[in-house]
Amino acid sequence: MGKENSPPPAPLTCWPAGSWGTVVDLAAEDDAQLAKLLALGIIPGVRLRILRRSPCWIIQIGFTRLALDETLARTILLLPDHPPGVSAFDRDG
Amino acid sequence: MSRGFRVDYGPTIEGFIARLLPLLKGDYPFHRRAVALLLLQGDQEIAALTARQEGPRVRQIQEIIKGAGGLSPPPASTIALARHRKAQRIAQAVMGKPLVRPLGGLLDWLTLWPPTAFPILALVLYYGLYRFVGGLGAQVLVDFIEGQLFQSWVTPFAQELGARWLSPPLADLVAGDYGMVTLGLRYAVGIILPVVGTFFFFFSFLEDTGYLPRLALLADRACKKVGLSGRAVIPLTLGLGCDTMATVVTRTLETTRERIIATFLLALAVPCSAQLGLILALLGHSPLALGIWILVVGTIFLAAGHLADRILPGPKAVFHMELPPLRLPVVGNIVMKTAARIQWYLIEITPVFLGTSLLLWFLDQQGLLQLIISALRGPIQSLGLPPDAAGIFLLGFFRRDYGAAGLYDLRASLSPIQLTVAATTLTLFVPCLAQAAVMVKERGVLAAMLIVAIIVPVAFLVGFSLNHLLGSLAMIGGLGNG
Repeated sequence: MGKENSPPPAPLTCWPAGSWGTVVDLAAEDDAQLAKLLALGIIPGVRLRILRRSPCWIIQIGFTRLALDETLARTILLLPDHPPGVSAFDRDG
Repeated sequence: MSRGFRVDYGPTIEGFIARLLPLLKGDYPFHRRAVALLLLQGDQEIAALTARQEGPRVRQIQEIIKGAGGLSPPPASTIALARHRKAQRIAQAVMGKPLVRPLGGLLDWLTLWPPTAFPILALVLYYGLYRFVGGLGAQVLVDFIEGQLFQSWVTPFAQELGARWLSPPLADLVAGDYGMVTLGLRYAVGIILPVVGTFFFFFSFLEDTGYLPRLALLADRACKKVGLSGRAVIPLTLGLGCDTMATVVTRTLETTRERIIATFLLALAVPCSAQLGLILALLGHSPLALGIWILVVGTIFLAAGHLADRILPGPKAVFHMELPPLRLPVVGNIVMKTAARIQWYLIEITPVFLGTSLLLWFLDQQGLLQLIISALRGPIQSLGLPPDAAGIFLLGFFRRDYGAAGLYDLRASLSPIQLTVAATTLTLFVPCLAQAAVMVKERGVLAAMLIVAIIVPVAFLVGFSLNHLLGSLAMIGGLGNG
């Protein structure tokens, strides 16, 4: 969960590669899209890590890696664990 | 009641389940708790089933679901999270250290980092599609099965049999120009099978190594330009082997909208292996003509896809895919998957080719083929081509390879401009009859007819304009005497 100095939640597309965070909400366009995200394991409350931003968004949830396009990635509202960009070896994409 | 495994969804959701359970008295294929959970998640199918089963209780059930719908977070989300947590606890209890490193492995990284990923992609496609499928499948194996087996053994045998035992129209049905053996079977087994067979092998190999999702991921941006998601790269590349087959594979796309766009593009601007081989043979001696052909067909592909994306209603394509780690392929897996797909091809596609030859035989017997050919002479002349090319265009509709093969016979008498125009128009022109049949089967009569109704004028219009454009350029530059 977020620490006191964490930035506020924002769409996943706003955070750099390497960020860890917790999904706080899904801004899905419709029920079908919401169901799709949930089925992929992208659920408010789960922790994920952004691995890459290009050529596609690649995230890691548990043991699963998922590739998402910009449209789907934007619907994921993420609360990062700590101010991003601190770790030296997380500079993918 | 099933015992043992159960997920606790928390007091709110459990409360709703407890209120729903006594109302569910109908006959369901699974546990009533599961029915209640699906109702709370907003499943439309189960809601319709409940409406049929529960009669007077439906209103009460709908009230409860409506109440749950107002919750924040929505029940679907709470239920998914509870299941996720339960799965995590189970995994933690039985698993040691995490096996998957984030982006572990250098190769894994190289196939995703754009500066290396795209060159690797190009190599994979070059060796896989061009050398393996195009070289081994479309040339070596086709030469052997169609050129040797059919021409030396199967066809003479069928002709012999027909001549000895059957009267002329029936003998033609077996072994004539449009015979079930000499056209249907020869086409399905001699020409298409080696191409799709090697394609399936290559495809199964990519699948087993875990590279396939990367291919889709890298192609996603480009596919979006024509209204498709990265997944569409699979049917589109398969179309270079056989468009009929590829049209069936558009089933794997998520939305009807994407399926229609992919079907349309396959029919319009993706030449199949039979066409590609002959077009390369026709235009191969002239890099300029080949370049013009690629440029025109490529532009039409992009423009048509872009327009379809703009015009067709419905939500835009979205892309998501699980990304497995790369691993060494297992030969047994690849062979098994390839065999299963070839079996599927034989069951699903072979009857289409046999049916096609039956229809052609019928049209030929009734003299309808000649009638249609003479009707086509006018439009053909407007493309600057000799009227004799009409037969080739019509047979191009029925059999794309035959169309290009007919063009090959005419090659000596055609100028480079005429060859370029004819090759381009034939590529865009209506797909072969087998593909048209599959289009009707997969997309319905209306969509298939609409697609054909768009393609025919587009093909002729492009051919017409290209003829005039190249004609004027030739007057300036002297292309016509090449």
